[in-house]
Amino acid sequence: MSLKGYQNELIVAAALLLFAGGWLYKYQKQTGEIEHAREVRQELAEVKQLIALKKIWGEPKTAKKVDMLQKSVAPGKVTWQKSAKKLHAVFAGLSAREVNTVVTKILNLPVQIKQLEINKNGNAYHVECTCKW
Amino acid sequence: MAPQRLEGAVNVMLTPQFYTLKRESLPVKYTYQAKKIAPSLFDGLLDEDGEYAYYVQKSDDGWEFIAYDLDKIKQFLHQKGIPAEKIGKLFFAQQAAEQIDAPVSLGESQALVNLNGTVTIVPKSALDQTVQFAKPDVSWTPKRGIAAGGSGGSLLTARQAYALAGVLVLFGLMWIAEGTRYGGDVKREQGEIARLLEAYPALQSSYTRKSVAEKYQKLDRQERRKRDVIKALSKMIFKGVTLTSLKIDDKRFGATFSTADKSVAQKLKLLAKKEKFNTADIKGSSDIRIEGQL
Repeated sequence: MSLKGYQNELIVAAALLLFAGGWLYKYQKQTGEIEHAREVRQELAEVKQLIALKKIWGEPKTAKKVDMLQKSVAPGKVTWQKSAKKLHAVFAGLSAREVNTVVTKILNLPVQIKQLEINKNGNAYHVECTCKW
Repeated sequence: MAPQRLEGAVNVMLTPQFYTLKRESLPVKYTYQAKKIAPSLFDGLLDEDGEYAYYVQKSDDGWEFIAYDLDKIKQFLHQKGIPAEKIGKLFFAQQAAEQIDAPVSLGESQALVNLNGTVTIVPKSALDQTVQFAKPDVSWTPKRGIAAGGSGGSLLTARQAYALAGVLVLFGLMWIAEGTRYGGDVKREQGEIARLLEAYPALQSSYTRKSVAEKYQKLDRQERRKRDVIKALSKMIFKGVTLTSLKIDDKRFGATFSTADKSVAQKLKLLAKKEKFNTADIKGSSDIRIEGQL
């Protein structure tokens, strides 16, 4: 049996091979690309998140920002002990409004709150805070 | 013609007894147009019991139409040991008119000659005794030929095969083209990563990134949790509720609220439950203790 007799079928088979090869090539490139794109996007998201975290928690100006806390109440009500990376502050005789101000400021500072203690004595509040950065 | 014993496929050039030639000068430009009118040109010239196909080619002064009965040709060739599947292409001697400038011997008594552009068979006796017969040039074949349609059990005609192959090739090429386009989609992201790492060289090593991420993610999670707890506790201060103490450190928190009456205390407990905090009544008072782990 001669292949020449099946020339038409051979032409179609060759075209079919190209068709299947083309599809397979596209499919492999597509799936590989999707996976690669997913990895790259994930890496970008991780790097962005890391930089954002570093900006928040590794902020070099945090020490200056912490000083703002001292000025939020009258100087006579604050006992302030600050070292390079640590703060121990005691606020005494605060009103409820002042407590709210102090706590809100502490919460907004990019510091690790090691301990926060609030106690009410009569109508006044005593706030003690230890934090580091 | 003597019976043949063939190993492979062959092309066959048909002598004029297998076809009918007609020349016409027609005002048509393309072969397909000429082919359409070919049957009408042979009206009354061909055997009525034959099934004819037509081959058309342009000549210097018009068109040459060739009518042939493929079944009869195949039948003849089959009898001579050339089955349809061994036939590559069929050509007509008329197609080689320009190549036949000297008579070509066909067996003992006949010769193929070119008479004014028409290839025909004449008895050798009609030729000059001194004539030199040319040997056919088997290395040359006309550009176009006809396929012995249906030969070898082929299921597709050439037209069907080419149409189908065309569509398949088109799709194949489209997919290849589409496949080559992939690869540029994340270049923007890769560029952004490179820019960020350039700005923060300390993060270029993946090990460093991992350890820095572990440190800051843990810190961020813990500090956010502390702040969320304090905010949740502050929302529990409403009319009739007073915060009397609060203590929070890295591991746990606890707060004591004094309440005006039992209904307020109940509402406070509900709020604490909603936040999944533990609650406890303080004996001898309407105070509520709320605490939990961080």
